[in-house]
Amino acid sequence: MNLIKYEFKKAIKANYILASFLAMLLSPLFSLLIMSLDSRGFQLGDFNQINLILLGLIGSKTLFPLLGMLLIKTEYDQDGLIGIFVTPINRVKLLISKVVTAIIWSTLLIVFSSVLVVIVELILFKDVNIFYLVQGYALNYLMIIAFVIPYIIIGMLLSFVANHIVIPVIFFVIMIISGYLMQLFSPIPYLPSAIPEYISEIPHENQMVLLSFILLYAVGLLALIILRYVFKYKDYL
Amino acid sequence: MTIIELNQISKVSQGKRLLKQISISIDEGTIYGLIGSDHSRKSLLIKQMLGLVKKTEGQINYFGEPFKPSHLMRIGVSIDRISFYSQLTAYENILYYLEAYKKRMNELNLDVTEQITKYFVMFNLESNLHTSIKKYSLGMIQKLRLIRSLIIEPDILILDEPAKSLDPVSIKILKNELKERAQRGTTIFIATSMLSFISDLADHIGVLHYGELIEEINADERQKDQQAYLSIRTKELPRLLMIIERELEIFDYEVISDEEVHILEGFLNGQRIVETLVKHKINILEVKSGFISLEAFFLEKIGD
Repeated sequence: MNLIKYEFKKAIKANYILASFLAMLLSPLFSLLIMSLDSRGFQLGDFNQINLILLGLIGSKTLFPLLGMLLIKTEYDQDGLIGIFVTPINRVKLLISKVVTAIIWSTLLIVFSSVLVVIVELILFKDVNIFYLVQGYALNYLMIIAFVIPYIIIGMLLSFVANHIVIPVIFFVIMIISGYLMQLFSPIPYLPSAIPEYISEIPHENQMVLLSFILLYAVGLLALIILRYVFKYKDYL
Repeated sequence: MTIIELNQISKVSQGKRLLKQISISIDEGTIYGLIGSDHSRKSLLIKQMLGLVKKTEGQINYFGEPFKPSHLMRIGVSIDRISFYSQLTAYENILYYLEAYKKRMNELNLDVTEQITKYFVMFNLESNLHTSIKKYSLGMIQKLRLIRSLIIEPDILILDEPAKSLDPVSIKILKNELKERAQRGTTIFIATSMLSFISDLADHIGVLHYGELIEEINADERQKDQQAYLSIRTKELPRLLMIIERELEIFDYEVISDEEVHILEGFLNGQRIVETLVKHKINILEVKSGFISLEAFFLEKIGD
């Protein structure tokens, strides 16, 4: 537990936490911009849907994996891992603390984003019941949380292996663009990039969504196994 | 009792043999100094000793058993690759580090705050305890590494270039602390290229050269036997050399300059040498005895 506390402390002191919450404010701003360009005007749920797509389609492959990458980068920048690896701290425990920190951090950001959506929709549509909104959106955001976890782990693995965050970020940008293009020309429901739209548009019990999650988690689990291995047996020659 | 034992340690990487069958035994309460040039691979050996690098062959034992991560609970380490989180203060960095040693601190009944204060005062860093690491100089960082290694009151200390970037006062403090610790039973392994630091500190000295342990001696032996010489200064050096070779049959000497020679072999017969030279009316400017410095010993061993 203390390891997680110190992971947060390092992230707070490096201003990563503040920056990430400020970045979350971009999502509602973009959503409002997109909605203002729509001639049919604001409709209840539009704001939430755009926010979900931004979080899921772009955020899942940029901001959220970046959180995990930053936790790795903090160590690389300062040779922190060597300092820790010459202590009796268990390497696997340390890795788990980093993964858990990144997941908690992402969850807090997504919850923050969902609160912003509820607040904005309550302002835009004064006669809407807050309980109705929360109940309606809760599952969407829970699925977004579940959706980003494998990406965080993949991001951590890539940044650990690459020793920095530039290559992983490029990898994820390529993933976003290629995913978007593949969807454009040939919609593949279980393509991970397509999931956010399905989350927001079709019933969650849809088998394609389930299949997508299974595939995504299989890749995430594989990434975690590889990450555990390279973390545990890293050679500092 | 042997506390640290390296048995035939080798490391091969990309077909290149980086460490060649290194065997070292270090007894409890002794200081072992490993000296070598920048490319001697001292740091690589230390990394192997700490499990940071996989060894190709050989065995590393601590306290009579093969190395395992739990041994690190009893080992204080200072290597130059240890850095600190620049966003945290020195105090926060040490607290974070001590998270891993809670069990040891409890076992030894050590109070964290008292320990931190003690060592920050010792190295004159107490006024920078709550300063961000960003503002620390190289010397201060090195002191912090040493504090980190000492604060857990380890049974073994493994130090790589401990005197690097330290001022003379801090070096003296460190030397005294290491000597006291060794007397109390701490086993200390120091790798350094600063020979002046280790020369009067180590009980045993090993010379590492390109990954090979080429010499290993007891510090007392070095001073008594191998390193003694008689230094003679004269304006008549060629005549002096002829006399010591022909009459005294001494051939182990080293010409230092046009006027000075160091006679190694004849040290124990200093009086006889001087009498012979006086008898031949050699104009002697100065005679003194001395020991070959560790530096000269080292250079001789590596063939430089």
